[in-house]
Amino acid sequence: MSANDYILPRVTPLSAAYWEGCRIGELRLQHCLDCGHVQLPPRFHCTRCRGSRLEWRASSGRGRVESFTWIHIPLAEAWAHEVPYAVALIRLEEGPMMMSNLRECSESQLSVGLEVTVTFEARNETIHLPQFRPAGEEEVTP
Amino acid sequence: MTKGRGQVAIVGAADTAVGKITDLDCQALCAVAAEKALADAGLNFADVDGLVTCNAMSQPFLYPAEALAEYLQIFPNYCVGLGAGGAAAVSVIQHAALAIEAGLCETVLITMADRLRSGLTREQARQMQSAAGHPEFETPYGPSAPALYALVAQAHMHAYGTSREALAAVAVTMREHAGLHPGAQKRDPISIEDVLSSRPVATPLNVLDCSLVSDGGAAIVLTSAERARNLRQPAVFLLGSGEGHSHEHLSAAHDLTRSAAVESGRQAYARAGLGPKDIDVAGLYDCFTPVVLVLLEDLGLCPRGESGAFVLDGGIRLGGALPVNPHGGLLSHCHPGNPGSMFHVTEMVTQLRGQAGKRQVPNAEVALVHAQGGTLSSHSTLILGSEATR
Repeated sequence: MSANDYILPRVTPLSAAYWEGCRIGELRLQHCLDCGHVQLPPRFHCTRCRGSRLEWRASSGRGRVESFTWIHIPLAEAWAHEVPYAVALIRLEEGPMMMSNLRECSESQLSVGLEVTVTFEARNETIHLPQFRPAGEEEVTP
Repeated sequence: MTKGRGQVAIVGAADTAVGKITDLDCQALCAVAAEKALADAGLNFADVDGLVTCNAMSQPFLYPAEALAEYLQIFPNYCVGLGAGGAAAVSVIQHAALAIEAGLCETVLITMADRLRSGLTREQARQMQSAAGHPEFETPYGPSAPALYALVAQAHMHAYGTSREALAAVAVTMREHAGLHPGAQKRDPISIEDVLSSRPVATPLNVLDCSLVSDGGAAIVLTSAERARNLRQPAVFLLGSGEGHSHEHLSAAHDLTRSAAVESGRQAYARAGLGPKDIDVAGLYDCFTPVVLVLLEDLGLCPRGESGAFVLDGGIRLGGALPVNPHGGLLSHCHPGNPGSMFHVTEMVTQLRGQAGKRQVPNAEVALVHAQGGTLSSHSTLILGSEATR
């Protein structure tokens, strides 16, 4: 890996459907057909009822910021040109929490509770990383 | 009170020099710490029939405990290499005590060391940084280790109105304490203003909210209470212990401001037959300033949501309501990685023996040690007591 490359996710047999969804602009979550539990990361079984009848469904892509940080000292060289960059924990409408970056968002705009919506960033041909931006960005007048 | 209370004692404890160490590797540091701790106990390597260690990131072995036994040329009946991140050094004591109570061995040497400051290759340092996040669902977003704790700090500030100054006050107190320890890595006093104006790392955390990067090691010797009576030092008894595990990666945490330290502490208190009010001095894991706030609340050492005010009022200072980390903790004494919380243990032993000199907490009879690994993920609590508490 060269120093200028982002660290890419290592796709597993269980997560292939997740990354395939991202590639076509869908944030997919595992739904349990027995108890209705929704989960991410993908697993072999439902962590609530331990059933194994799981189905991938597209998320609304909407969520709220539970916490965030602006990183000034990057994890690796690849992020150096972005500092400060925002890493946030986002509670999706369907229930699961996920980590992501906030895009198109200023330091003054980002706060706990901010409503956000998913967007995808191509890192290579197969990996399109889900990212988030403030919801209703379009309505904001300059 | 439960079976096992006070049946095992810490009879020897020692630290190596810390900071920057260029003349010894990790195994040699383990050996130095071991030799000092055994001498402290009035024992020698021939008395050791159990060995516990954790892997050194800068000098990893496939089977670290076996490799260390080989290095020391000791041949124990019980030999364990344990990994639970920062919680390992406290968790091992519970494991070692169980082995002694079960009769698998009588005297366990726990020794660990690492050289994060001068022993890591560039590649090892890079791998260590990126190992904190989930490789598939977190690391691709570029979270550094401090960033994960910054997410905890931000959530605590939002939930309870905790001030930025309260975080800084943790660092200031640790530095003040380290100034009283001749061996501490950082001893020059700092102010809240110094912390707030230090280099930003991941908001709200600055460099002075982050623990040190150190070389160093420490060892303790554990044996049966019966045998402890005839040894050199006043024995420090293990009154209770507990563990709690809620997640490994922060995005899987069920609560960002309440950790499994609650469960870990509850077990330790119940086994010791004691409560938060009985604690005279505490060794709390302090890799980043917000961790101390969360642990104070989770362990019932101050009311939920009030840790910020507690710390700003001087609650964790020597002379305060509950002195925390009189040696200066990971923030100012040293943080060589996995062995980091060993220094909290050796400090609590020193305090309960009444041997802490200028930083002695008067009449310290009961001490609590708590360490965590991951990002508030794995937790281990010990309650230690002097002869009077047994």
